[in-house]
Amino acid sequence: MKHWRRSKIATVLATVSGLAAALTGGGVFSAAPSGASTKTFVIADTSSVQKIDPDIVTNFLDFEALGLIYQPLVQMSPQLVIKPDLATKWTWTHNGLVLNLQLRHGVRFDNGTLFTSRDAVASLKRAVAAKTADPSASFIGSVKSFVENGPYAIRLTLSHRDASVLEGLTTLNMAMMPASAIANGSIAKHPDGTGPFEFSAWSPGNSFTMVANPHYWGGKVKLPSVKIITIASEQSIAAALEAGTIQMGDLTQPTVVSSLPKSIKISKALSLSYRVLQMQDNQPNSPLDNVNNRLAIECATNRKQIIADALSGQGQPSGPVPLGPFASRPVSAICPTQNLAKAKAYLAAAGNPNGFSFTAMTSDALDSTSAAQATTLQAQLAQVGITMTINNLDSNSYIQDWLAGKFQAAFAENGADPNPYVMYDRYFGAGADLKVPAGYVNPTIQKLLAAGDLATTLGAQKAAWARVSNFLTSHAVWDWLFDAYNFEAMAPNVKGFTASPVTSGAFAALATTHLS
Amino acid sequence: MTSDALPATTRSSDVDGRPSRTAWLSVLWRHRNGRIGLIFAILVLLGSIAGWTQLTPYPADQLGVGHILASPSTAHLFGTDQFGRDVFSQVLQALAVTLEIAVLAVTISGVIGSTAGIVAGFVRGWPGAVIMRLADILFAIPAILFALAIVSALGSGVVDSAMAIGIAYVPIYVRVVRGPVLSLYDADFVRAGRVLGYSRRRLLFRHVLPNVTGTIAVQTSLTLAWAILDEAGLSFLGLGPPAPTASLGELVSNSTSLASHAWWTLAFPSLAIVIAAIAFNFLGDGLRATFDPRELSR
Amino acid sequence: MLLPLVRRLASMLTTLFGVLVVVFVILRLLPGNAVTASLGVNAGLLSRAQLQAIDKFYGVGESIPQQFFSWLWSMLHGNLGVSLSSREPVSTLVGSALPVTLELAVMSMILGILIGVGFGMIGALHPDRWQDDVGQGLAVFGLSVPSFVIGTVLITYLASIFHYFPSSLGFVGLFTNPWLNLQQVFFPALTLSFGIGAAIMRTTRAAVLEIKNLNFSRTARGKGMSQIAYVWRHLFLNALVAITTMSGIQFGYLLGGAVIVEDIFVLPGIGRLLITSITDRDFPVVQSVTLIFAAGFIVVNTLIDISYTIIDPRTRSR
Repeated sequence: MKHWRRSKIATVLATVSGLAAALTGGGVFSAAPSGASTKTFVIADTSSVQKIDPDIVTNFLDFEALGLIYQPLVQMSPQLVIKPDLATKWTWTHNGLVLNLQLRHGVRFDNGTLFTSRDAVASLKRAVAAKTADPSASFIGSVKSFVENGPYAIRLTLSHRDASVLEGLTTLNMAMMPASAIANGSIAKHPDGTGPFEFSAWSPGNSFTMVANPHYWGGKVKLPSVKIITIASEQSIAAALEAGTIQMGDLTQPTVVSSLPKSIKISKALSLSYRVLQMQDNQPNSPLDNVNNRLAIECATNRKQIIADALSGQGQPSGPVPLGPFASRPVSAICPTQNLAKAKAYLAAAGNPNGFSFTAMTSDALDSTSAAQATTLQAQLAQVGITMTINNLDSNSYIQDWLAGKFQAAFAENGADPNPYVMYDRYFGAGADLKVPAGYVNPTIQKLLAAGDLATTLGAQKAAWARVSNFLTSHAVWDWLFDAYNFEAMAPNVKGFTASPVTSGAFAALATTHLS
Repeated sequence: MTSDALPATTRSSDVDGRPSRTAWLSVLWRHRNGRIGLIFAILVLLGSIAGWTQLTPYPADQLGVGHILASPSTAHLFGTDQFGRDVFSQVLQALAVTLEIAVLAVTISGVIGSTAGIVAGFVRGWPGAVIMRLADILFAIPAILFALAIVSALGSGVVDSAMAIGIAYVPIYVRVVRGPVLSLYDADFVRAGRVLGYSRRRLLFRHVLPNVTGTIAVQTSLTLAWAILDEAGLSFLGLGPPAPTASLGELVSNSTSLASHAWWTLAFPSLAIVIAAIAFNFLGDGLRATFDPRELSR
Repeated sequence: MLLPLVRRLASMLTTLFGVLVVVFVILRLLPGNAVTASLGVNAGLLSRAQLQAIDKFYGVGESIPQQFFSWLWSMLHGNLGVSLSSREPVSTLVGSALPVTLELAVMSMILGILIGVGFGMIGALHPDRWQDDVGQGLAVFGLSVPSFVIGTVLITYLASIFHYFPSSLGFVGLFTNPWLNLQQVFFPALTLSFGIGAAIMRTTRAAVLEIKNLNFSRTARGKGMSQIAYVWRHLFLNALVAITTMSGIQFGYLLGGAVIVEDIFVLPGIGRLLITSITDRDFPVVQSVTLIFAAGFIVVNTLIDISYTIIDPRTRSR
C-alpha cells in the first residue's frame, strides 16, 4: 500500500516535471525555435531602421545599420582619429586647396562589381547634389570639384582652405556606392555597398536583415546574418535578452541596464554627443540675455549630481568638446564644479540677487533622460533662487521650436566630433546654418573658430581649440552638462564585440564577432 | 481602456420616488460597493488635498531626502526612488495631479457631452440628428489619435492631458444621456406638461433635467475611474505631464524598469491608481443603486 | 426590409466621410511635418535648394485642399497611398499589421468573454457567496490595474524566471507557425483580457441577477425545470443582449489598449503602426489606418445592432 502510493506520487511528479520541462526548457515553450536564432544574430533597438539610402539618413540606428553595408572613404576610429577606409592614403597639395585620395584596390561591391574612382566621384557628386538633400553636404561645401585621377585616385579641389573636409568625408552620408546603381536609381530601394554585410530584407517599422557579404575585402565574416529588430520598450529588450531570444540589445536607460542579471555582458562607450542646456542670448525680455544670469546658471550646475541622479552615474561631465584630442579640460573655465557662492555673486552682478525665472524645454521622446536631467538641474538652480520651469514637449513640437529658436532654454543632445570646428561652426560660425537655434552671435567666437580651422600643427590646434572652449564657457553661451554612455548588452555567448563611440561604426565590430 | 458603459436607466416611475438628499446618502451607504467606493473616494480626496497643499511628510520633489532606492521603513513609508525622493510624498502629490486631470477631463466631456445629449434628445429634427452623427464620428475615431494629436499640438501639461483624455468620453455622455431624455420626452408627465402648454424651457429644466442627473452622476463617477487609467496609459506612451506635475501614471511608467530591484517604486503608485479607480468604479455602482432602487437587492 | 438597410448603409457612409474629414483636419493642425519629423534638428543644416528638393519628395509643398482631394480621389480608386517615410505602399504596411492586431483583438475578446461570462454567471448564481467574491475581486483588478503594469510585470517575470519571451523572436504568422504564433499572441491578449473580462463580468452578473428576479424565471424554477436548462435557456440567453452590447463596446476600445500592449510585447500590429506614423507625421499611413479602424468600428457596431434582432425577437418590431 505504502509502496503503491509512493510510486503513484513518483509517477505524478515525473509527469509534472516532464510537463514543466516540456513547457519551459524543452520543445513546447522553447525560447529558440529550431534554427532561427542560432544562425541569425539578432540585435534589438527601441527605434527602427527608417531609411535605407545612406545619403539621407539621420536616425542613429540607420547610421549603425547601414554602417555595416556601406563604407566611406575615410573613417573615424573608436579612438577618434581619422583612419583609412576605402581610401588608403590622402595628401593635401596646392597650399591646402587640393585633396588627393588614393583608393583601395580589389574592393568589390556586394553585387560583385569592382570599386573604382568612377564610383567614388559619382557617390560624392550624388551626396552634394541639392536634390539628394544630404544633411552632411554642407560639411564638404567648400569642395568645388570632384575628379577621377586614374582608376584608383580622385582629386577634390576646394574654394578655400578647409581642413575639416576630411572629417566631412568620414560620415556615412558620404558612403561609397556603385555608379551604376546611382545611374539607374536603384540605390534608394536596394542598398549596395562594400561593407561586411549585404542587404537582405527590410520590413519598415519591424526589422532589417543583412547577410554576410561574400565579396568583403576585409576578410571572412563569421556571422552568417544579422537582423535588427524593433522592440519599443527597453524593459522588453531586457526581457528578450534574459529569455535568450536576442543576442544584443541597444540600451540607453541606466536603470534598465542595472536591472540586468550578471550573465548579460555589457559593453559601454561614451557617445559621440553631448548634453547641454542651450540658452538663447537674444530673446526679448529674457533673463538669459544677461551674461551674468547665464553664468549664475553655469555655476549653480552640479554636473556630477545630474549624472548620478538622471543617469545612475553612467556618464562623464563635459565641456563644449566632450571627446578626442581637443576635449575641453577643465570642463568649464569658470565653474568646472558647482560653486554656489560664485553663482550668487553673478546673480548680484546681474542686479537680481534673489534669482530669476526662466523656462526650459525638454523632450523625453527625443532623449529619454532629458526630463530627469531637467528635474535634477531644477533642484540645483533652486538653491540660488533661480526658478526653472520645465516644458516637456513631443518630439515634433520640440524640433519645430528648436529650429525656429522659439525657446529661452532647451535641454539638447547634440552630435559631437573630435574636430571642434565641425561641431561649432554650424552654431557660432560666421555663416552658421544653425544660427537661430544657437541663439548667440558674437564676432570673437567667429574669429576663434576660423582661426582653429586654419591651424596646421597639433600644438597650434590644441591652443586654438582651448581658446574656443574657454570663450564658450566663460561667457556661459550654453551650459554644457555631460557625455553619456551608450550600452550594448550581449548574450553570454557573444565573443569579440566592443562598443564604439562612433555612430556609423557602432556595429563595426560585428565584422569580427562570433558566437561561442 | 476599460469601460462599463451600460447606461444607468432612469425611468419615469422614479420621478415620484426620487430619494431625498439624506436618504440618498443612506442608500449609498447600505450598498456594499457604494460604501467601499465612498470610503475610498474620501481617502483619495484626503490624499489629494495633502498633496495639493504640500502637507506631505517630505517635499515631494526634493531630491535626496533619503538614501537612493531605500526600501520602505518608518522614515519613508513607501521607500525612496532613484533620486532619493520620498515615494509616499510623491504619491500624494501625484494623486492630486491625477485627480486634477481626471476631474478636468470629466468636466470637459461631461459638460459638452451631457448638453449635446440633452439637446439631441429634446430637440427633434435635424439638430438632434446632426449631434448624433457628430457623436458617431467622434466615437469611430480611435481615442488614442485624439490624445496624441492634442498632446503633440499643445504640449503635455495638466490641462492638455485632461483635454486629450476627455474628448474621447464626449460621445459616451451624448449616448448615455440622450437615451433617458428621449424616453422622458414621451413619458406621461412630460406629455401632460406639453398639453398644458408649458414652455420648452420649463419642461427641460423642471421635468427632464432633474430626471437625468442620476444618469449623469453615475456616468461621471465611472468616467473618473477610466480617466485615471487612461492618464496612466498616456504617461506610459511618454505623453504625460512632466515634473513637477508628475501624475501617478508618470510615476508608474518611470518605475517599470526599477521594478525588479526596487518593487516599492512601482507597487505603491500602482496601488494608488488601483484605489482611485476602485473608488470611482464602486461609487458609480452605489450611485446607480441609489437612483435605481431595484439594484438594492445586490 | 430593404429600405432600412439602405438607410443604414447611407448613415455608415456619411459617418465614414465625417471621420475622413476630421482626421485630415486634425493631422494638418499638428506641429511639424514629415520633413522635420524625419530629419529632426538636422533639417536646420539643409540649404534652401536641398529643402525645396526634400519638400517635393515628401509632397509637403502641396496646398491643403489639394492634398485632401488627391487623397480622396485615390482612396475612391482603392489606392491607400504611399508611406512618406518608408516609401512602401500603405496597403502593404496595413496588410501586414492588420492581421496581427485582429488576431490580438479576437483572442483577447475570446479570453475576456470566457473570463467575464464565466465569473459573471457563477457570481450571479451564488450572489454574495465566496464564488461571487472571487469574481468581483477579479473584476476590481481588471478594472483598476493599468494594462501596461500587467504587461511589464508579466514579461519581466516570465523572462527572468522562465527565460521565456516568445514575442521577441520576431512575429510569425498564424499559418506559418501556428504554435509559436499562438504563444506570441496569448500573453498580450491575456493582458488585455483582464479589463475586457471585468467589464463583461459585471454586465453579465447584473443582467443575470435582473432576469433571475423576473416572474418568468421564478415560474420556470417553480415548474421544476432542470438547473442546466434553466441557466442556459432562461438566464444565459436572456442576458446575451447585454453581454453582446458590452462586448461590442469593449471591442471598440481594443485599439487603444493594443497600442500599449503591442509596444511591450513586440507585436508589429496596427497600434504601433499608428503611433510611429503619427510621430513621423506620415499622414497617408495615419489617415488610412484611422479610416480602416473607423470602418471596422462602425461595421462591428452595426453587426451588434443587427444581432439584437436575432437574439431578442422583441426588438424586431421596433
